[in-house]
Amino acid sequence: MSADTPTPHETVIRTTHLSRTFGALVAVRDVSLEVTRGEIFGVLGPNGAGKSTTIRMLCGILDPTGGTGTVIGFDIAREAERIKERIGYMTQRFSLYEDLTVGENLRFYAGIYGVPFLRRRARVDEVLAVTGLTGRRRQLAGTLSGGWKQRVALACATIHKPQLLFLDEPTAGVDPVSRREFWDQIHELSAGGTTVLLTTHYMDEAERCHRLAFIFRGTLLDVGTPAEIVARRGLRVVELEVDKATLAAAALRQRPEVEEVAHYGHVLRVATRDGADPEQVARAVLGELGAELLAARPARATVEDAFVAMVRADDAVARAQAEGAS
Amino acid sequence: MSSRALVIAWKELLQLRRDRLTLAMMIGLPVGQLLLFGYAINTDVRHIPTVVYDQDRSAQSRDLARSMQATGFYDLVGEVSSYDEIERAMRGGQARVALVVPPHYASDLTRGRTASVQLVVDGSDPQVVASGLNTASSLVLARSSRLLVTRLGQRGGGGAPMAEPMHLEPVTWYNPDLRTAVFIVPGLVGVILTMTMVVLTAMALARERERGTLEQLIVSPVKRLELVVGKIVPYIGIGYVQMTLILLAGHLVFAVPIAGSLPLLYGLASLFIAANLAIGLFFSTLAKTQQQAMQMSFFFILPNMLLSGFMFPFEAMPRPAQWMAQALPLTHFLRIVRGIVLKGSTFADLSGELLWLAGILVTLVALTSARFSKKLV
Repeated sequence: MSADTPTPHETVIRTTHLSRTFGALVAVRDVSLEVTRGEIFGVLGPNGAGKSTTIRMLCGILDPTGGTGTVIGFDIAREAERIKERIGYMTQRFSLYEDLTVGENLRFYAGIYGVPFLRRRARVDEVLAVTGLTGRRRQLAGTLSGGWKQRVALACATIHKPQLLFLDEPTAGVDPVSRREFWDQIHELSAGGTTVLLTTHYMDEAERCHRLAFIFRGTLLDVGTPAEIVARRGLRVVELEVDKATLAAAALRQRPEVEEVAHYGHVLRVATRDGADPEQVARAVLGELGAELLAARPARATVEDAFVAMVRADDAVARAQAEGAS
Repeated sequence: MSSRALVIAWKELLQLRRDRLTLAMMIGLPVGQLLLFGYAINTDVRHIPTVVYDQDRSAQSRDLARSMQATGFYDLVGEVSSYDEIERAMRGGQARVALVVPPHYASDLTRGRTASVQLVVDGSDPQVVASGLNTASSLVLARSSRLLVTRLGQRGGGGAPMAEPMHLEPVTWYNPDLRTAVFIVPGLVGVILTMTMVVLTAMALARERERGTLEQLIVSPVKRLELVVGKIVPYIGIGYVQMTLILLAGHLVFAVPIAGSLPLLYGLASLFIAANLAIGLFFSTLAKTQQQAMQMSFFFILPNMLLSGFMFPFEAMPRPAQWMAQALPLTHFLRIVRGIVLKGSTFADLSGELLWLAGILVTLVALTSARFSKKLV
């Protein structure tokens, strides 16, 4: 079986204890992942968590300092050039040649990625049509708005129909409507068999992925479907309308079973861990404060709740270790 | 100074300390200039390669050649036996001056007739002409006066005026009118090409890095050599346009004659242009920003102007400066362009320079391909 004709459920990316250090800084530590064909796999984490470093190692443009990885059956350290022929990669700033037109950018990348000369024109036409860019073919890329630039960048990254697509924060700085259209396209690509690995720190986008990996301080905290990840945290959430919201929030945060309190306009969102009933906890706290509870509605725990919980837990562990060491 | 100004000054110093390249240039540039101007550049042209065409083959003629060597201004690099051989040595750049001693030099001297010698000078470099002629004239004049005194003593005074014992007949080849424009214009072709070509490509990679498109290229299947060649080839055309404009303007405005083969010049120029583009690309792999690439290019221009033979004759420089100059493409191209345009040099005359240029180009392309990593960091 050749690496170019993957079968369904085939592993497209596999890493084992992948690590990368820059001097004393550990950017990625012991990341072991598996991504299968056709998946939309989200790598989630705050800025500087090691998302881009991971993606760059998988693309073969950054050598790992520890561990191994294969992408489409090729070793990321030793066979980087083989990988580069088979993937599409959209960098963080989706940099186009701003002094070239949309059509010229596409033709350039078609040529660079080895689309045969005679097929280039047809392929560019096809991509322009799919992405709704036909009318902007002759427009200079530099004059496009963020949303349009992102479309062109995606078109460039997929011009050679790669079986695996890497997107590094593809929707940063893009308006909500464009983001929605973008996600539709990603799901179409996925349905067509393209594997997509993307990084994001937008939690609403994370929920659109088939599976997620949480990276924090270079360490993989959890991998799974959004539902699995949320379920594993055992969080219960309630939305409260109270007077003295700021005081109430401060008091709620003192309770050990309260995971998180967040303000959403006039609403306080309270999450508790270990199965504690958030509404009961809230009533008790508000009673002590003498604050009035105007309304309480149970809510669904989100990926964002799960994420914040994991980061807090990791922080607590790190603090405990630091104290133990000193 | 207000405290805000101090804060700004402090910030500038912090940034300067981290901008190693600028700092290195701020220190390196004045030191480099001082050394180049004060040490390497000596407008007294010494060690001019000289051939002797001795038709007399007498003790006296050999003595004259030896005394020329003894001045330190002429390096006798060989004997020739015809004017054709002088021409060949000059077109190939092996000689800048030729001493021609006529057949009856010794007998003229002993019989008290005026003994004439000829000094053929390569006029394609006016400074060489000036130094070459002045020294030889003084030498011949001094010997002539000494002979005159001796003869007067022998004859014991009185009688008819005696013939001048020795005479130097100067002949200037290739640019006999010693017009500066004729000398400068071909050199300018090389200098202008160096300046513009290096800057063109020095920006090219740095710009991709700054705009973030370089990462897209690194992650693509493009090979390093493909990138280097692809970045060089289109600019060769621009180099040709520049060269044509300068030569045309020189010909029409300054009446610079073109003695040799234009196709040969254009053929050899491609190597020179490509070598400069490769230098720019190499700088580009070192620079992080376009600005740094620009600074490096300017820093590169200076030794080119001073060492290549454009401003000062190559022969005037001490050995270490000459070794450095050999590594500059401009040094070799100046010999090519002056040779072809002024002296009508042929491919055979210039094959040595061709080898140098080709060697420099291949080294640079290899170096640049190696420097340009298809990895980040």
